[in-house]
Amino acid sequence: MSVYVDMERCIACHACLVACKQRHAGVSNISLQIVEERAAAPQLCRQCERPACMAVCPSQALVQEDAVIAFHIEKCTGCELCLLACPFGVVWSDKLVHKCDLCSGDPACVATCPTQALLGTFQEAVVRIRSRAAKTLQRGLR
Amino acid sequence: MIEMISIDVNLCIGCPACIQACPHGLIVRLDEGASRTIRFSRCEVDCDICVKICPEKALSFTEKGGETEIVLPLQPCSSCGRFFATKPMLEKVRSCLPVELQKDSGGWSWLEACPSCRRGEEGLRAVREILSRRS
Repeated sequence: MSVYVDMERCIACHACLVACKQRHAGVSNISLQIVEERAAAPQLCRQCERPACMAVCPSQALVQEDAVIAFHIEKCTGCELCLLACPFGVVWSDKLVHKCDLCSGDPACVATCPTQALLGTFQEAVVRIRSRAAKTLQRGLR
Repeated sequence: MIEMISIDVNLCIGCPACIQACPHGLIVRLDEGASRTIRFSRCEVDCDICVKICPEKALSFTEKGGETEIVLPLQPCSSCGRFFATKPMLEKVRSCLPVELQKDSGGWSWLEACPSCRRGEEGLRAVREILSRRS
């Protein structure tokens, strides 16, 4: 499970960041990359199948639980190796390490996104992409 | 009797674990130019939090000696040039990561970019197609 991002729909309103902050005591686990002021890409943990952050953690504070890379703060030594290991740069440290925890299965960012650019399931993401591809094809045939 | 900390310079990678753990703020980090200095002041009370937390087991107690410090080289970001981590930390990450990751991403070059530039690069990659349509 992961949060899927439809970049076509993102309007860079920052609502997902605010929702994430509200859910996580003032820290956001999402970063918004605005490119050339023409497009935006929210960046957050992808819950990798082979997580680099988990591979480097010396204290097993990061563990795979079902399809989520869970973080156990009480085991964290604060060495920050996970920050350096993440190829996408989406593990943060603000004295304490934090990353997307999918809000225990009900992501606040997905619920709040006003353009439905964030999707909570792979199924929804596939349906979105296929219907868009079909519409494009239809327009092309006319 | 209050003991002093001894650092094994061959083991310490310069991560912030002990600095953040010391309840009295007696371990300080100083990043200057291309090197990081971690300075251990004389302990004020008996405690072993830093020794226990060190992920590399680089710290131990000694009865002699006073303040001590270690200097480690920093890695500049390949994209923005900011010094973002010590070289031994990145070496440690490299040694722990599975080799498949190297294959997937065309070598270890991504490891030399700071997390912020990795996000920027990934964001750009993700919207490149959209940008061409919107221009």
